[in-house]
Amino acid sequence: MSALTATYDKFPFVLPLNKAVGSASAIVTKKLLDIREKRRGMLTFSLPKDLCGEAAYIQERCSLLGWDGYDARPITKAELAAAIRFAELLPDGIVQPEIIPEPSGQLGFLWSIGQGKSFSVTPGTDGNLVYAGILGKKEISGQLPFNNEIPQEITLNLFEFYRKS
Amino acid sequence: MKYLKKLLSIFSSSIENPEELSHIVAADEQISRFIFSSDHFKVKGDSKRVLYPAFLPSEKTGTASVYRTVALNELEIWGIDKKYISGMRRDEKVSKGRADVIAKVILENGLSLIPLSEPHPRHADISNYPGEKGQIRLIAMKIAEASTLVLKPTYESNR
Repeated sequence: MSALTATYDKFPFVLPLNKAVGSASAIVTKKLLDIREKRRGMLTFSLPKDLCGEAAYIQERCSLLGWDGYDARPITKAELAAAIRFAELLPDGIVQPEIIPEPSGQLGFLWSIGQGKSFSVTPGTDGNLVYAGILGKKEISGQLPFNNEIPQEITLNLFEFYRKS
Repeated sequence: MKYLKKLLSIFSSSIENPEELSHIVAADEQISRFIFSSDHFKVKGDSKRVLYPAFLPSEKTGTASVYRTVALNELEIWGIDKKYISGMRRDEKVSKGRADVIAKVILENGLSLIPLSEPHPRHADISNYPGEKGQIRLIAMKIAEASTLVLKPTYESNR
């Protein structure tokens, strides 16, 4: 059970942490994800669906070399899949990000509330995600592995700064 | 008509022969990044903002192309775009707006502004981006936040 975290707060969310191995862990992870999916339906929480549609629309528009008027790489279906995967893993209870195409040929997620508070994460097909944030006086940036979960460094910042009110 | 032609020739001359520009970009100069993708800015009511990808470097060159628009008026700036930026493209893509920022913001983040003579004497490159992708993004976010979005008049009227 140490493999997973289920939290109930003002805005409930389930955050699987795939640190453990073994069949028991896999079963509990699946059950938690099922609960999460059911809850999404109950709350008519449409974040992933909206984001996936938006991501697909942007990928189509930006699928040619130089789509940004400079040397941007085409956004491929594989990058779209990485973005959808990231969107699906986003925890509940956070504000909806904007999806932004990047010259690297990837799809970035941007959270922004007014001046001086922006946070951006870009999942890639290389199994990493790049992130940066200007969160008031705090500035963060880096690159983290992205496999079956969104790293805690990312989710904690999202909950601290972009929790739905 | 004669008056207009004369006025245009005066503007063209000042744009194409920017004698007042130094070989080193001054910290207080206005720098403009022309934006072709409407995904790289947001307009909501009266609020206009530039998004960070507008200042991410090209993966091919590692630089971002900009123009030194100090001491130019709107007509002159869009004149450069018409002739040397949107006007030189073969794919008929046209700019939708530009991000104006003071050079100091770029320089303070450890980047360089390298004047180039082609295709226009006011052309420059933002270069010297760091190697780490997260750092590049953070810098692009800071520059975008400090920028002012100016929509192209023709784009704004067609929105």
